[in-house]
Amino acid sequence: MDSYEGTENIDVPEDVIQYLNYFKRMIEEQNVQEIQDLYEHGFPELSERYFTERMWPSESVVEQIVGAENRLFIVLYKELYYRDVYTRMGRGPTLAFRYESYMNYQELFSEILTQHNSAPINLKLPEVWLWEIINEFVYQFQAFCLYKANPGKRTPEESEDLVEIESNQNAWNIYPVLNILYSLLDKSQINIQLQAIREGRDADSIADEFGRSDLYFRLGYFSLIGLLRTHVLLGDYHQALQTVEFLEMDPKGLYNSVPSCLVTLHYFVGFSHMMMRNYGEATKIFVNCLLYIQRTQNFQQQQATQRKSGKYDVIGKTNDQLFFLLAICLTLQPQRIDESIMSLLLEKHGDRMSRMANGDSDEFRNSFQQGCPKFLSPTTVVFDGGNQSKEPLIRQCNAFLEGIDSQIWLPILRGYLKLYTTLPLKKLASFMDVKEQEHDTFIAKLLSFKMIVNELGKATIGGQEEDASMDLDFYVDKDMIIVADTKVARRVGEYFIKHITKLQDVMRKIKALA
Amino acid sequence: MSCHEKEQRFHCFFDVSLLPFPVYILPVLTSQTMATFAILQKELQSEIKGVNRYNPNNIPKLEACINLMTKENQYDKDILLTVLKLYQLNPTNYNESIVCQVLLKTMMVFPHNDYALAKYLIDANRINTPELRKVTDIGALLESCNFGVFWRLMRGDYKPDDKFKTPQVYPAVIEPITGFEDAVRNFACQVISVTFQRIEKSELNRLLGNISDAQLLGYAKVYNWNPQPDGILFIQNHEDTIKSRNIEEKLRFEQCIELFRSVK
Repeated sequence: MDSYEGTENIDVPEDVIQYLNYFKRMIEEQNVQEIQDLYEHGFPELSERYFTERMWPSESVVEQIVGAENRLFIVLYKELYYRDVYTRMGRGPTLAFRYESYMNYQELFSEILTQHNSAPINLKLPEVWLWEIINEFVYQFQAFCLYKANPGKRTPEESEDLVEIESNQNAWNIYPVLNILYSLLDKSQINIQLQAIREGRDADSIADEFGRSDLYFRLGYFSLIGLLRTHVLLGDYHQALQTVEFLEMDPKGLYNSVPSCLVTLHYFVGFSHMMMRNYGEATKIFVNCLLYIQRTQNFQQQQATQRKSGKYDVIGKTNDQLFFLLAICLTLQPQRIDESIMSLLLEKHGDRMSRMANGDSDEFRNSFQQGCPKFLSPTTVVFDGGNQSKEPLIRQCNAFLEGIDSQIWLPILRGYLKLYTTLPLKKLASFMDVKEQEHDTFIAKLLSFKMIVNELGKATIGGQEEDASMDLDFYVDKDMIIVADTKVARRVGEYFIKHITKLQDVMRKIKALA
Repeated sequence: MSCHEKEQRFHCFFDVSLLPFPVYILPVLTSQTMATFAILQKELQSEIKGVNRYNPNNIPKLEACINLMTKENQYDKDILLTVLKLYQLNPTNYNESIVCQVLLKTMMVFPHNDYALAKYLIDANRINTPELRKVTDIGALLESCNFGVFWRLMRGDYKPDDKFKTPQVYPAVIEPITGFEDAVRNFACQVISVTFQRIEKSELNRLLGNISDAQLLGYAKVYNWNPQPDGILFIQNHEDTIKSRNIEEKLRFEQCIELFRSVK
């Protein structure tokens, strides 16, 4: 199972030896600052310098270097080691690596959660690492499910091994994965703590020593987001939102400390709302996230140059996905959003959006598939035949499209209604080419419009009071439609003020240069 | 089984006082071996918390509860979605009859989106069976507020065409679900209330399934509609609430004051 072992026994660069020893010491001394630096900069730099062609030293080599008495350090090292494996193997790691990585996570979480510990374990890690442990854990589970469903990714020997693993149900099975995440929630008492914080009470007073410990609190917190992601990947949007029920989306939240965490949280919460037809809510969340990415983009670019070029750019990819989803939401429920995002959106997807507004369901499908996550089925294992890993995605896409079937008509209806203050039913029917026998379906479209616009279907948790800005409304009086249009005048005054001030700024700067 | 089978206890999802007909609340004789929905629901509420939600041993009890939900016209969203989730994670326990019941029950609480949530949890290889197709066909009609076609199917007035090749199979699908037709009518009434100011009686009947005059008056009472002499019902005064608006820009002096100061 360890195919790379032989080549690694010798020849570890001196830098790396020093790095490993120093790393171990810092972890033992709980020097979080240093640990963060070693984690965020040290590891990628050394990877780039020495380990582009070969792998980092294996467990046994590292044990020879730093000694074997600190098992926890070895486990943490292996966490980084396997993550590196996933990054470098373009088509995905072999079954052996996946299995071993899972076992490593088991060991790590056992240490943290094991029952005979009467006190929290003595470990301090930076937030970014804790978040990435949880995120990577869920990611590797996702990767394994997709791997199981795709025989093309396996050699025949691997398929045999897979049979054995599956029959024992002991690696990357949905139940232990859920178990670990829920156990982290329980141990950290994260939900009652968050509830207390929301109600303005002191969380420390109600938590036990595990809950009060930074490590557990953070792991619990990040596990909420990990579970959110898992539920969405399984198509359970209701449960996803329930999971983060007590997590406040405000600047003080812990998620703010790690950019990829913030982006992940917003993406999955927004996506859940979208699938639950709360387009207004979804739009708000997506826009907030896009604004955040825009603001911190320069900073991100700096970060990116420090990372290996092969590393998966979560934020960049999510940025693209968000725009696709935003295009869908705004087409179905138009509302005013931040100008800069709107102009970027139109630039990227203007054509697409006008096609969707005309009822082009293929365009909806396209946008959805570009914007959605990689859904999975936890139980599908395919040994012969084709790649079935895309089935769950196709299923969610179809379910989504079926749901908006009635709503695809909304922009078209809206288009006609905008032109009139009163309009006989018959006339509208003739515009829309409604035949005699389709009268029922025609009336149905009007009813749906009203139903959706009234947001009767809204089921937001912790619901928002403000309505999405409704630009068009109507009612039917016998056989006449009476339309009510809301016109918002252009904010000319504000626009001028903004630009006058800008000009003054520029003049000042020019004068200063002279 | 008690012999009070005709009476139905309307502990609906909706407020009982909104129903247009008198509610018979008679004591139901529960024999010791027969659980009621309420009992099972209470037990399950504690058993499906946290990670125990995913315990497949709960499946038999959940299924029993759902059967009772159907018979007694009760509703519990959590139980419905939980059983679908468990089928997803334990495909060997999949039970199509239960899934049909779950979907039909979620349709009874439109406009809530429970139906959509339920559909997401059903895998691709299950959703296209003939039995489930019948159910989702009905679901699609109701989701799009197409009450006209729905009632024509149920009353046998629909001629086979491309969309519905065998219209006669549909009434049997909803028959075992107690209170289904009433729930659809309630949903229709809600939508009618927000859409129409006045509506012709014939049109209304189309949307409510050609019910008797007496029943129609009953609904009118509950939803505060006013029948008028010329065969038209006055639904709601929308004139006052739905009006064109012009949102003007209001420029406040404070916004400009900085500007004026800086201009020499």
